Amino acid sequence: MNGKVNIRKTRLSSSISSEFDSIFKVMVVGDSGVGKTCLLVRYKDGTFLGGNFISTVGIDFKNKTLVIEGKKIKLQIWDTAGQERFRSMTHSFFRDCSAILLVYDICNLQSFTNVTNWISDVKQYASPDVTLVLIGNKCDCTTSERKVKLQEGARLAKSYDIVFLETSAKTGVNVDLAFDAVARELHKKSLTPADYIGRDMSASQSFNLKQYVQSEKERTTCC
Amino acid sequence: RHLSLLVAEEEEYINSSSWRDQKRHFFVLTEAGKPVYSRHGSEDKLSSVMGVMLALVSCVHDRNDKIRSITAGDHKFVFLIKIPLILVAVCSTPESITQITVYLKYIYNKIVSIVTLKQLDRIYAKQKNFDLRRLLTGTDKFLDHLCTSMDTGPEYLLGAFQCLPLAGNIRDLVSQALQLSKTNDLAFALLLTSGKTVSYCRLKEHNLHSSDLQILINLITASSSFHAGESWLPICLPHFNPQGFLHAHISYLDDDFQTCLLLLSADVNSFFTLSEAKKRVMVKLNKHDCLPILKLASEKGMYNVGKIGLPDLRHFIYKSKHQSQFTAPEFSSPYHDVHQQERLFGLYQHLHGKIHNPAIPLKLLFEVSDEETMLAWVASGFELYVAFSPLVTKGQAISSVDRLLRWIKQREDELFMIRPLVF
Repeated sequence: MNGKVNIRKTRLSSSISSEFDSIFKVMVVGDSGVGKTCLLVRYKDGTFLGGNFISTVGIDFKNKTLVIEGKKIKLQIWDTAGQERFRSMTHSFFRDCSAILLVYDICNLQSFTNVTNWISDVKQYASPDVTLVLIGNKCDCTTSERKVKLQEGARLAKSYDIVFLETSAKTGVNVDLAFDAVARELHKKSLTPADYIGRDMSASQSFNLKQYVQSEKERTTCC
Repeated sequence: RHLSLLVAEEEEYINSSSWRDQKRHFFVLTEAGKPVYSRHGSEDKLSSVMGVMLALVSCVHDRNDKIRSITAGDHKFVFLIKIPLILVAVCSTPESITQITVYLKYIYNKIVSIVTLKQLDRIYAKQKNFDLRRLLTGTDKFLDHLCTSMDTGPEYLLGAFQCLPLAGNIRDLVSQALQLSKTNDLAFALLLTSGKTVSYCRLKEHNLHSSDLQILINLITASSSFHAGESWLPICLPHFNPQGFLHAHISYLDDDFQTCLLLLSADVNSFFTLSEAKKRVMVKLNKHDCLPILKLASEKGMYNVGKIGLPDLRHFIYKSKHQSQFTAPEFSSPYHDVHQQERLFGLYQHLHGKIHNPAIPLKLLFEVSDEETMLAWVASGFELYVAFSPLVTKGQAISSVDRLLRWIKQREDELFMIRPLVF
């Protein structure tokens, strides 16, 4: 991969360009109840939404700003409802989205089985160069609760050549990593040859999402 | 064996007193007999009951007729047939059949608001035995919430909504702020505080029907999902257009989730346009410090009936027909507990049913009982339902009503939204 990737990067009008260097749209998708909202709240606020399950209605929109290599990057994160009736709405948002976090629940086999459907939706509706990450959430669960093995997730991700990691919104394991890695990847993809002039961008250029996730991730329960 | 076990389980369930003793049951099924929703208990366990309902509907249908209701002792069975859906109510409460039919329509409209009539028709034209619950996943709580609020909510009985009582000039400021949200394809802008309407702004050619408004209020008050930043969702308003979705941008304007702004657009791609529109509304509201004022008004709540200074007056509901709005004081003695409030609401339902009886509609109704004296009056511009203490004479009641009407008239600006602005 090189800098010549056709990524949708929103160039901002001059009035607010000082606030951010770039904005990326990131979507969180997956079946209902897999913990999409919880992941996002953990990432944004560092807390866990325990207690009652509040299913997302429609799509919720949040911003998160982070700094990568001195660049201010704003992630516009779309937290989607997993229910079937919101599917076509979710698809329409795929179109101009730079990254998609596809989440399943490791204690819910159906949500894992449906991953293939979600991936074919992504192939059909999203941009071909979209950054896709597969996330097996709820890795804080007990061995008896676990229904999808770590290796099964990894194997599926490998067959589609996408990045995979297990997370826990409850304990926070790998949550920040998932979003930060995506931000780094998008940042790298967005660099144009002009950005390299007179600067040492080798770190960005050599960024590899898979290796990064591999080296940074915390080991999750294996079985 | 498995089947017989299931049937036994079902039977046990519907014979349990916790299920049988419920006063209001609402059921929704498809014309193929598939359960869609039950207000009490899980619709899964009610397939035999729903089978009986479907049989009743089909029997009458075979004679080229439509079943409307069955009365058996204290129980009323009311049917609303909206193919592909069949809605049934079983009530042992004081409502009239007409009123129960109105409640069923609210449930029907709520379902249409989630899937649209177009989608409903399209699905069932192709697949008669489609399980609608697939599309309604996660909406039980909205339907439950609707049914619960219909138990004691005058808005459903009267087809009217209640405004947050507020100084007229503040309401005007809010209306002007809402007007600033105007963008292409924006249909409605609505501001709610604690689930009560503060104001709304609409397209000139489209009124916001009170039943559509109720759907929006129900949506906001039933779920805390909208507390998270800005939300975007498709919603169909059946009176506005049952065939298609509007797209709602929903956001809370304060940190304690009191005041909520809804912007409804016909354009599916207008999220960011509406997000900008929201900022304009916020600037205007903040300039005049409206949000703390709204919060205060909502904490103050409704007025006390004692303020009116009519000794025998205990409670009332006044509906302005022209505005489709109503006002009622907070509950005070002797209606302090829920049981008494439900009893009073039952009396209102009884009066409303009687005065609006399609066979013999009345203008004025005066009923004396051991516990209170009730008066209902339907005039050209309003409907009034009043609870007096039991010993009030007819003459006293009439003169009290005159003074009450004057009191309301003087506070019209505060109690009602008089001039909804247009974009």
